[in-house]
This record gives sequence, structure tokens and C-alpha cells, in this order.
Amino acid sequence: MQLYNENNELITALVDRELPADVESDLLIKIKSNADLLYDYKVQLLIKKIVKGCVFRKTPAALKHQIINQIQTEREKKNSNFDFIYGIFRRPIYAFGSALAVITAIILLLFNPIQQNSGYNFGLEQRGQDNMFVQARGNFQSLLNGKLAPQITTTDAEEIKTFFETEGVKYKIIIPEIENYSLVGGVVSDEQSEKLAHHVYADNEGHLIYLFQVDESYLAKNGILKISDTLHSYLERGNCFTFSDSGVSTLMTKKGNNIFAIVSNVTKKKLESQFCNI
Amino acid sequence: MFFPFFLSVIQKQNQLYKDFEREAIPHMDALYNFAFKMTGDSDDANDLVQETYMRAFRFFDKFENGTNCKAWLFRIMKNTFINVYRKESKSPEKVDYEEIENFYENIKASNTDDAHLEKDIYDNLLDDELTKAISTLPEDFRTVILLCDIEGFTYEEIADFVDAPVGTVRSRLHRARKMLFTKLHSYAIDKGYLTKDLI
Repeated sequence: MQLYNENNELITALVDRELPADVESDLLIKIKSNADLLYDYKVQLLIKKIVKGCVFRKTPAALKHQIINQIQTEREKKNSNFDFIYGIFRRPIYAFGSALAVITAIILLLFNPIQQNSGYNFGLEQRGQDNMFVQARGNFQSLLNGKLAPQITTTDAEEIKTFFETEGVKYKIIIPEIENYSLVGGVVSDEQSEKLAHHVYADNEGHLIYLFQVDESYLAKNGILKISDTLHSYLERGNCFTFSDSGVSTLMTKKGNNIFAIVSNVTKKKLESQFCNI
Repeated sequence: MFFPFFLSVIQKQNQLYKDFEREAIPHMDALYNFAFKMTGDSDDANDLVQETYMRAFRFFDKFENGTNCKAWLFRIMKNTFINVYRKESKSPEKVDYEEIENFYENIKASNTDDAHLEKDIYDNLLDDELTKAISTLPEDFRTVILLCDIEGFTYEEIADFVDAPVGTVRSRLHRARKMLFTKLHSYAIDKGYLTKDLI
């Protein structure tokens, strides 16, 4: 009986393969030589087999469907809380709040005038073939590859201006002077029957500066070109936006009524120093 | 700055839902089977599984990725069971284990061979009878036997689940199987699968 009491619970662990190998083999020897232990062992094995073999109740399809739906609803409820806050900023009825936000922003801008990038990369918002930023960068690459050649080659700014006028460019062109750079020439492109002006500078070290300018009205809603609203507002406030990628720098700014997209293989800083005060 | 923030929160929520769908939903059958055998009633099992999943979803951000999601869900189910069902039970079950042990010893003594230990005899029992027998075990005993023999949890995992030492788990399992044996033996006699001659 003593032997039985010491070992009966170990039998359970043996059946469940929870014993170390040495204890297991010792116990098996004891079981073989003791009828009570053997009986216990058989009962434990039998019940384990019976319980293991009993029918597995699968989740009823309706319940599964109901749970998934409830979770989905819960998820949507969580998201809608954020959608609500997100929507606040876009609803006219919250105009007072929006106005307050705008006033705060203006105050902040007055005390923290930004002349260059605010840190936000507007370049990421510029998409599509009718985007001025995208077109300017594409045209510059074409210039570098030799796929785009000036239609007029001259170092004379007045001559380029006359060319633009005769080719049908309707807006007033600004051709700034750039220290150590000479004009190379100009191109007029056609966009929805509107003529657009592009001109190029070069220095003696192989740097090119390509300048694309259009009247601001061309960027208006449903205009022939576009830039993102946020970038447009940023430029409206007199800021310069610069962007650099793969050795190509791009600068966008506004002077008079014209929006400029300037692309070059000089550094972003160099472009800023040249064009942010044109 | 607000828009990207809210957008990121929504994206995080969506990712959490996808993770939940991948990690937790596949264990629903195991949880239902356990719930059904714990409660012995399909309506109670439905409610228990439903409540467990809703709680799990609400707290899924607390679940540590890479850990055992099934064990985590079972813990939630245990707590739900304790909070919801145990409140409803009038008093804790009392087990006269000595009586069961005596009954067990009587069966052992009155059988001259092992015929009553053949699994085939008990295979004649209907699943409902087996489920009923399991569901009448005291909760502590029922829990360990289901987790061990149906879900295949290790003693350590069961110990973690029931908040008891491994030795206690082993002892409960031993007793639970003996109790179940006495119940099934009685059923088998009542149904005529075991003859009095064998007793």
C-alpha cells in the first residue's frame, strides 16, 4: 500500500509523458510488479483515450459569423472616433475652430517667418504628368540626356524674351541674372494650346540651371498645370521650397505673378542663395 | 500634423485587426469545444466564446506578439468564466473524494479480469453521455482534464492557467480521471454495455 501511495500520482504523469526518462523507466518496472499500480495505470490510460476521443465540438458557423461581425463593428467604432476628429478639421460648421487655428498659424508665422522649407517635404505630394514640379524635373533630365535642346541659343536675355513673345507666351517673363552663369537659350512648350516658357543657364564647370515659369493663373483649379494646394499656399506666403534627390536640386518660388520651378545639378543651398531673393 | 497622426492611428487599428484575425480567430474551435465541455450547454458555450473574443479584441494590444496566443485566449476565457458563470453558481462544489475512492476500490476489487477496462465498451456511450459525465466533474477537476486530454496543454501550461503548482495539477488530473472512470463505469452498467457478471 505504501508503494501505491507514493507512486499513484506519478502514474498520471507517466500517462501524460511528463516524467523524465529515468523516472519513467523506474516507474514502469514498479507498475509491472504491482497489480494495484498496473490497474491504476490502465484506468488512467483508458480515461485519457476516451476523453481525447470524444467528439470535438466545432464553433457553429452562425456564432463564428456573429463574433467576426461584432469584432468588425467594434473596430469600425474605434476608427470612427478618429474619423470624427479627422473630420472636424474639414467641416464648415467648425469654421470658428478652423478660423482660430488659422489665426494661431498666422501668429506663429509672423513670429517665426519661414523663408526656406518648413521641414515638410512638399515634393512627396507632387504627382502626375500635369504637375509643374514633376514636369520641371523631367525636362531637366531630358536636357541632361540631350533629348531636349533649346529652340533658341543665345546669351541675350532680351532676345530670349522676344522669342517667347513671338512664340505665343502670353505672360510676362522674368529672366534673372545669375552670377557666374550665362544664358544658353530657351524653349517654348505647348500645354493645352497654351505656350509655356523655359530657359537654361550654364557655368564653365558643367552646371546647368533650368528655369520653368508660368503665370500663377495657369495653376488655378482646372488650370493647365498644377501643384499641390499646400505647396501653392506655401509659395504664396513668399517662401522657397527646395528639394534634392540623386544630385538634382529643385527649387520652387513665386515672383510677381509667376511661379518658378528651377532645377539644377548644383547644390540645394546654391540654388537657394541664387533664387530665393529673385 | 493632425492628419498624419490620425491616419497612423487608424492604420495601427487596422493592422491590429489583421493580426487578431490571423492569431486569434483560428483558435475559436478549440475555445468553443472547451467552453461547451466546461458548461455542458451550447447556449452558455456561445455566450462564453463570444464574450471571450470581444474581451480579447479589446485587449489585443496587450498581447505580446510571438507568445502563445491560444494560451492567452484560454486565460481570458477562464477569467470570463469565473466572472460571469461562477457568480451565478450558488456555492462552490464540494467533493467527497473519499467516497469516490471507495467506489473506485470496489470496482477494482469486484472485477477479476480487465474486460471492464476495454475502451470498446465505453465507445458505445453516446458523446452526450460523455459530455454530461465530464460536465458533472467539479470545476477544478474538469478544467485540468479538458486542458490536458483534449487541448494537449502541458502540466506547466495548465499550472499557469489554473494558478496552481504543477504537483496540484498532477494530483487533480489523477483524481479527475478516477472520478470520470467511476461515472462512466456506472453509465456503462446502466446502459447494459457492462454486465453485472463483470462486477
